[in-house]
Amino acid sequence: MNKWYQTTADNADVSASTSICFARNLVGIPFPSRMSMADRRSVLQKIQAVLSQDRNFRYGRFTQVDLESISKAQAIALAESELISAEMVTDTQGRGVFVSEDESLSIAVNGEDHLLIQSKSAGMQLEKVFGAADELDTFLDRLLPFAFDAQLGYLTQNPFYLGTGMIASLQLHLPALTELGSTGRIAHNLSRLGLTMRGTFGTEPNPKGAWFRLSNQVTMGLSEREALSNLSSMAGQIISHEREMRETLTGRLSVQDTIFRDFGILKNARLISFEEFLKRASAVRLGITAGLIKGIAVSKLDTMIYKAQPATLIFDSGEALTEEECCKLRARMVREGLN
Amino acid sequence: MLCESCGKNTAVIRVKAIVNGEPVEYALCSECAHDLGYANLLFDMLTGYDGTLNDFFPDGEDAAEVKHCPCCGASFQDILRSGKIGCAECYHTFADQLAPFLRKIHGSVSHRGKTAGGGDLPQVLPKAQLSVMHQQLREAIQSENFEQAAALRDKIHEMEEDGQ
Ligand SMILES: [Zn+2]
Ligand SMILES: [Zn+2]
Repeated sequence: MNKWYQTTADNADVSASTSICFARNLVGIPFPSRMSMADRRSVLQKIQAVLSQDRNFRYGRFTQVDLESISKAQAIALAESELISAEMVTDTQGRGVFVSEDESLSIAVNGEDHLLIQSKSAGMQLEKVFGAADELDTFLDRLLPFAFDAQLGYLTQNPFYLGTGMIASLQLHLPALTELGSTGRIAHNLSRLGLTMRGTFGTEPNPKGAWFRLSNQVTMGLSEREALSNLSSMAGQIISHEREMRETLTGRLSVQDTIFRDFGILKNARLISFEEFLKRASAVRLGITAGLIKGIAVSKLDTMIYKAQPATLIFDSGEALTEEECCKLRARMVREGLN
Repeated sequence: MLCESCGKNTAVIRVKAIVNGEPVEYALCSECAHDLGYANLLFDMLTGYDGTLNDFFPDGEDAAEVKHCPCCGASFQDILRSGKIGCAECYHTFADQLAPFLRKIHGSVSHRGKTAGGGDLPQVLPKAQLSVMHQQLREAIQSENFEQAAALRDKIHEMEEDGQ
């Protein structure tokens, strides 16, 4: 079965993926920072029991991963896939994640909240992703007592997420706007509209690979659909702006030269770090979407970016690798993918 | 300790991240933490507040009079120190103390959107779920997916029995 990130979707030239999370907690059990180990295990068991009641349908087929019984590399790989938080990697006892086969639906248990329900898809598909998260949430809500208050909404450990407890994000590739130095100003303007835009890999002003995450920041006083429609309309403007700038930029010979040189390096390198790969893959991605590089789908490149992350690469290889072996394996995977 | 991002301000929070395949911990000042998306109750409580945390904990307070949440045992001081709410019940136990901070974060609006429900009837699945399953059963039979149909039929039967 294909994973969600291996599929092609609309608007993927700029918005590589969509994800929506719901933070949920159970009544009568302390939030994760004050939970006992017995509480943690009991919450895991409760969720497992509820999901198994759906044995004949998809939720019953979720794979349960207990973080305490997996390798460190696997736990970090789960964090790189954003199925669990970095904080969960460093304290794995009594914590876990339930994942659907295509990894598009998951429930992280005992992280920042008792449950973090997450739905993902390629491209920009807010409706579809929201629908899947909402359906799973409704199923769980029928069988678990979620902490909720009519005024405050869903009760969360961090009061910033009170209200809907929903964070929706789009993974945006903005090489043209980055090249023109516009992303800082855009991020600043968005923050006044209740949205945030930050680098995905690292926190520099010009983040690695020109990858940005655009998310809603307001969870209170706006319904889920209102928050999604705000996000969607702002994303639409950023996407069309990026496309316009790409058109101008990729017409320049110097930019085309960079794209084809980076493509050449990726097709031939014998050792490549993740950082270098991200940088060159950004130019190649731009070349693909501009029609300069043919025969490679954007989703194929995005899958490579996903698989080239350090811990994911090590875990998938099934061995402990040195830094150099990692770079060697990454270079081989990229070469084979592009040639 | 100085903030590891700007190197200028005093660090107030430690956050975890995965960098180059390894978990790392950063100490950040409130400004950098905010910029990097680590929203924390504590910062907003202290932003624009001229005193120190100690002003929240007057000396000589009688320990017996400190209110604790009946569910998780947290005091309001515990919440301030950690920047994290102890449990759902804390929102009621410390409603008055939390109110100004919640107003500061969210304004004076209240929740709109999805409502949790059915949680107090944990074992009874509503009729809607059954009717969906009946529909799925019809579809399974139509598409001659008999294995799935049989499983569905058993499940529906089981649920209808339980519901009585
Ligand atoms: Zn700082
Ligand atoms: Zn409490």
